[in-house]
Amino acid sequence: MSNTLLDVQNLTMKFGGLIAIDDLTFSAKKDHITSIIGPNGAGKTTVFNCLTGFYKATAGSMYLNKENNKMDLKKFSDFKVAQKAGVARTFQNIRLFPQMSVLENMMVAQHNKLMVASGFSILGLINSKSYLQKEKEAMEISKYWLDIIGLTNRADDNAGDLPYGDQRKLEIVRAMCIEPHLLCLDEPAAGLNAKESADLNKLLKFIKNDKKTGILLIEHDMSVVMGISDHVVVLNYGKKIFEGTAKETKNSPEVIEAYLGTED
Amino acid sequence: MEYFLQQLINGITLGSVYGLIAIGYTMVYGIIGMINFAHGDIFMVGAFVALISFILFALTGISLPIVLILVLLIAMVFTACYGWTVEKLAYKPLRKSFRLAPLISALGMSIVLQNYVQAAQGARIKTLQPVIQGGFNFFKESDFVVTLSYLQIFIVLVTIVLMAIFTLLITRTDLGRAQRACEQDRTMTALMGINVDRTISMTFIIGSSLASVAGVMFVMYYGVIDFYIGFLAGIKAFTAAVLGGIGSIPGAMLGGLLIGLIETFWSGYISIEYKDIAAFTTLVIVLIFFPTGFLGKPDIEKV
Repeated sequence: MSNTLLDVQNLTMKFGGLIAIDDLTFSAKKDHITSIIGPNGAGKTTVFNCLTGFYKATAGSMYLNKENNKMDLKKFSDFKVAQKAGVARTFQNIRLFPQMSVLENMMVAQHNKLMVASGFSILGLINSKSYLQKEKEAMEISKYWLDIIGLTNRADDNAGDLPYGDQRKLEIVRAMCIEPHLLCLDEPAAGLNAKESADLNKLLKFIKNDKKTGILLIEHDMSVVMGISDHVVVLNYGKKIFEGTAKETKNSPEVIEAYLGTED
Repeated sequence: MEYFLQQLINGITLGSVYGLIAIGYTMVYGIIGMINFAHGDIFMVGAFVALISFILFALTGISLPIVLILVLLIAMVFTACYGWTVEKLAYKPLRKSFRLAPLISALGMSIVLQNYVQAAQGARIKTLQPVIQGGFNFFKESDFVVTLSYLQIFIVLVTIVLMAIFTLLITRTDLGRAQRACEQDRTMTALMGINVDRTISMTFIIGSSLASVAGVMFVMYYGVIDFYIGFLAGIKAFTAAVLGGIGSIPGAMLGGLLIGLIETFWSGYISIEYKDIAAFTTLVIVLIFFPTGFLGKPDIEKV
């Protein structure tokens, strides 16, 4: 398949005797929202941690197709995951920079290109023209995204002072400022009310359709999963128990069993 | 009144030196949450580099303003290398270790630097002839003449200029933005594609160069240094950083000024022999009554 973005083969992650991920194989496409669901402790976040270099996978391979350039995600860790591989992620809990303004949060995500333009900040100190130009561009990108999530008028407020739902959205657009190829979202709808969830669906669909960024989504909120997923991977005890479209997943007996238990 | 004015002038001068060192403490604490106890000795290294450069330049007969600029630059570059190396050798390998490990390593590094300078330069005090002489005299007709020396003006001016540049760097440039981001969440900063290790190295480089400027001023102001000056000056600057609120950069500047003033007024009005007690009493009082300092942010845990 030419539009496969992420290709995970036989991924296994062991912590001592505990097998957190057991021989997991799945792929995600460029223009798809791929959801990973499963009961608590199924190993969903561990998959993300392997993808973004927090854990070193015990076995298996993970490849990212970046403009027909196959990148081995196992080779990237720390800041290179975002900078070189183009993978962005969010966490279950909100991890904005709460003491920095909303706009600054967006600018931090564009650090690398600004750092080059500013000659490692020296030109930035003397306000050189080329740097000001680049900074203006970064500012435009930030404003563009803030407009989309409706936070333009709060750009100068501290990110920590925003309401919870807005912080969630800000986290996602901040990750988009890295210009990632793959966006990994860990429970973005956790704690959102119905209207905020609907807004989130809209935002994620926009990112998928207009920005052509592949999204990997861990989510418990089924209204989000069923509403926007193109493809669903179901995990239980680290094993993939089902894979298919949202509709197929909803009707699958294995999935129902994992979530609700068996009928005696 | 005249006496008071004189103490005020001296206090501001001394406060500038402490403020410059205190910034290094507060920045490092802000970004990696440790007290860099070797920072005082980095300041001492800066003072020695300055002393050696001054003596070497005295042989060449270059004019004074150029010598001053050159000495400042040489001291900054050399001392920044020391600061960078200390971080790479003693702190970076321990970054993922338990919290006390880098602190112990810092104390060790402090002893290493002191002994290294002692071995390389000898244990005796070193003196420098006054580089900038003269000044303004006020209240000439009264019985106490207030002196504002050119050197004091130079020290305060250089401090103001450096602090202005430094504040711009932190608040306006992307390096400063990355540093502030690291202070709040290092993992997330790395996930934004920012090289956290390099940002931390830059923090040490900037902090060390500011300390080296303080060292240059110290050797010019007092004219006498030895390998041990870093300990007292370092602890006092640390007190200044705590007083202003550790982690807060304006706090470090304010704290430095206050410690300088407290120490000078104590020496001027109470006892010059016990001047070190003033700074340390302040440290104890501040830690008991204002543990977050004047401009520090309290750690509020949301439950």
